[in-house]
Amino acid sequence: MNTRFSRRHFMGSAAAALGALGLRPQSAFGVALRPPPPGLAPLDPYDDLAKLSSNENPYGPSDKMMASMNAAWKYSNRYGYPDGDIHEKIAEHHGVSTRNIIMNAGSGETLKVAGITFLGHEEKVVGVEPTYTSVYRVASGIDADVIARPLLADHTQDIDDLIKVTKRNYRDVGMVYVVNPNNPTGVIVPDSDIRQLLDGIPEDIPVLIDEAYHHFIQDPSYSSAVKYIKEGRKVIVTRTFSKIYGMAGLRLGYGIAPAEMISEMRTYATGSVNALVRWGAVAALEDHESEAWVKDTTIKLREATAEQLRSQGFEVIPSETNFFMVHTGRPASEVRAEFRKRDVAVGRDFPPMLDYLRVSIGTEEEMKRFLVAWKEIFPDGMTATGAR
Amino acid sequence: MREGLQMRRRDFIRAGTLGGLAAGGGIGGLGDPLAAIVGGPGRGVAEGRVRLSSNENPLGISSAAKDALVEAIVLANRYPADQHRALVAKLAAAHEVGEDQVVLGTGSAEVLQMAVQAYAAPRAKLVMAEPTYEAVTNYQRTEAYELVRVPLTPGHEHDLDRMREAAESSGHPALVYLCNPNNPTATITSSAAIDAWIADAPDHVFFLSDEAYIEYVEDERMWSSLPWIAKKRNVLVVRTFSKIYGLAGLRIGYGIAHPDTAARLSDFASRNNINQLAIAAAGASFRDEGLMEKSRVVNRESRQMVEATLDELGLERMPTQANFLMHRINGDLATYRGRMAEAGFLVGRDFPPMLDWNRLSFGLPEDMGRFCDTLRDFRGKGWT
Repeated sequence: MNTRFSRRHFMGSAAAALGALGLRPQSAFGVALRPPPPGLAPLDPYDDLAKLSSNENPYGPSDKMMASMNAAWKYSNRYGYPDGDIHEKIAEHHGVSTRNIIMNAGSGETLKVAGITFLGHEEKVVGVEPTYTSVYRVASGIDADVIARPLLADHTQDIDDLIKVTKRNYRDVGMVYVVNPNNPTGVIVPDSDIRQLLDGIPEDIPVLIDEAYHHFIQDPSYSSAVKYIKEGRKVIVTRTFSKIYGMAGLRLGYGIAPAEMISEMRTYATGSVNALVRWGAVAALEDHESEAWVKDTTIKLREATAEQLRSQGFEVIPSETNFFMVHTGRPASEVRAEFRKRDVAVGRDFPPMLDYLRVSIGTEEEMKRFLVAWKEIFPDGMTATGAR
Repeated sequence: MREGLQMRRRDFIRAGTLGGLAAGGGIGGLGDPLAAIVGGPGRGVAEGRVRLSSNENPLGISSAAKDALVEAIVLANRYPADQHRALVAKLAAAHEVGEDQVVLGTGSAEVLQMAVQAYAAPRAKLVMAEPTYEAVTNYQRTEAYELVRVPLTPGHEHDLDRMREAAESSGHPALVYLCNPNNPTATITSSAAIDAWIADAPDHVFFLSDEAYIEYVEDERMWSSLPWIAKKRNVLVVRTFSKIYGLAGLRIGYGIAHPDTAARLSDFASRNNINQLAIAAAGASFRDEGLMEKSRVVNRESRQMVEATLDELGLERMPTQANFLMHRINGDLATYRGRMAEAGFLVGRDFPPMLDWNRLSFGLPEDMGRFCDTLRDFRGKGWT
């Protein structure tokens, strides 16, 4: 209901036009069934799906964020406008200078820019598999190579191995890439491992650490790598407003790095951040209450759902994020198709873990639908499916 | 369980500042708290200066675009892949090309960036006019291209003969940037002449045809390079929603090219690059005849007022086919810009080597009236 409430109050001058909104049919899940934006083709079954496929935040921006953005639509036609000093506020948030921050259209753009900057001469990127492959795709687009190393049996990243491979390929390695916590497994790299990695590889090799899911972590052995930037290490940390802050559709992420690395990266970036999300982000950084609520709710739903699956005999990888991976014992693609028939969208394939399914944490309603569908797809629990 | 979640959410809303707004409702409720959040004077608009500096559309976004933006806010938390595809389909259908021929960018700037990055090669040249829109020089380590700047002809057109010589002489790849109408001069280059070159050009010459201002063009000597993409892999046409559509702050533009070229460019696009609000507003604005006609009418009125004043003051001006023009200032540009800022107007940046000219974007007619009075006042003080 919150989404609908917020929209009605978004852009007050258009509120009259939206007066009829309350009369529109509501789905059972509290999100207004809405017509597609004028001029676009209908997005047929989208609204009816339980959207557990893309690690989005199902609640959307908080009301304070919506109110803040509400003031910014009038800058839609401008290149220059008051933007709440979002660049300065991000810098302050991390205790660094604005020269240490590059803002982009989602951390996806930051990853792309880092890839083009540090792999631009056909260097290799070293990382694990499976992981978030955006950087690997950039690498292949520019004819750079990817050295993707397997995870350990407990799904952690093998730091000794990453160090060994990086050293062995030292002359060709443009960058080491670590997603922490890792996507799709939800598993963290402890701070001691990050330090071991930084100390173990030649210090002139940049390490790109993707902390998109930072805000969901509870494990005290994790800590953000921003401190290593302050120590002067060649580390780039990426963060996003797409996850805990619920603005995946509005596109704002950023990179934190030593000033000279940011300066190099700027060459390859455009002014790509829109007026509204800047204001939404200013409010997001101050809205600790909303952040805590999203974290708490997400973790409770994650643990409750995982517990259900475990009680049926399924292995669920312990997660520190807003998603988890469950061992299906059969091709995830088949399982995904079964879920889709039941209007539940779940995660894509993450080779080589093709018999694991990534499930994002949606609303309580969505997680219930997931569990009902799961029971239909796996009526006999893990014992029977494992034998197939 | 669900009820509990919703209840907690509602409690949260009540606890937050919007509780009061919910009771008050409507814009009255939002007005004051927002003023506090915006915090008074900021950069640009809020300093009370009129922006005649960035070739924006002074009318702002259309009401249809605004409504679409409001509708799209419920998608704020969703990655935009489906909506992105739908907009690409709409643009492709309107331009009568395949969906695999349209590449969206965060403004046309990202499309230009993709091209510059995709076609960088050892000993490649980047051939461009001087002055022209300089963005293409920003996106690549300078050593990746040999930069060749070719002055405009005395008639303010791209000097296609010299550009061609520069692009084709070495046999190495060349990226040719054609900004038509040209920014900052607002002058057009004959499309017949451009077509003649494209028709004969070898494959290693890649044409980057920036048509950001084409919707304002009235002169029949200019038309789009779009028909070439059916036949040529080496032509990219770039369009934007930042100008006549008034969406500069939302960041969306696009490129149209041969499918192979579009695929190559997409390697250099950011994943999920375009935000939901821009997609929705662009979809609602594209080829909205009412919006375009209103923008043209207002632009024409402002232009005629400025032209008459410049003529009255004997300040030389270039013929314009866009939402801005270039005129002499009879003095130092930085000084002029500073004085204009003090008088409440932000005007164009430096475009070397034309440092005794100013690029002036057309604002609303009432603002241009005040601008013209200011210019006369400057003359009275001997400043121009």
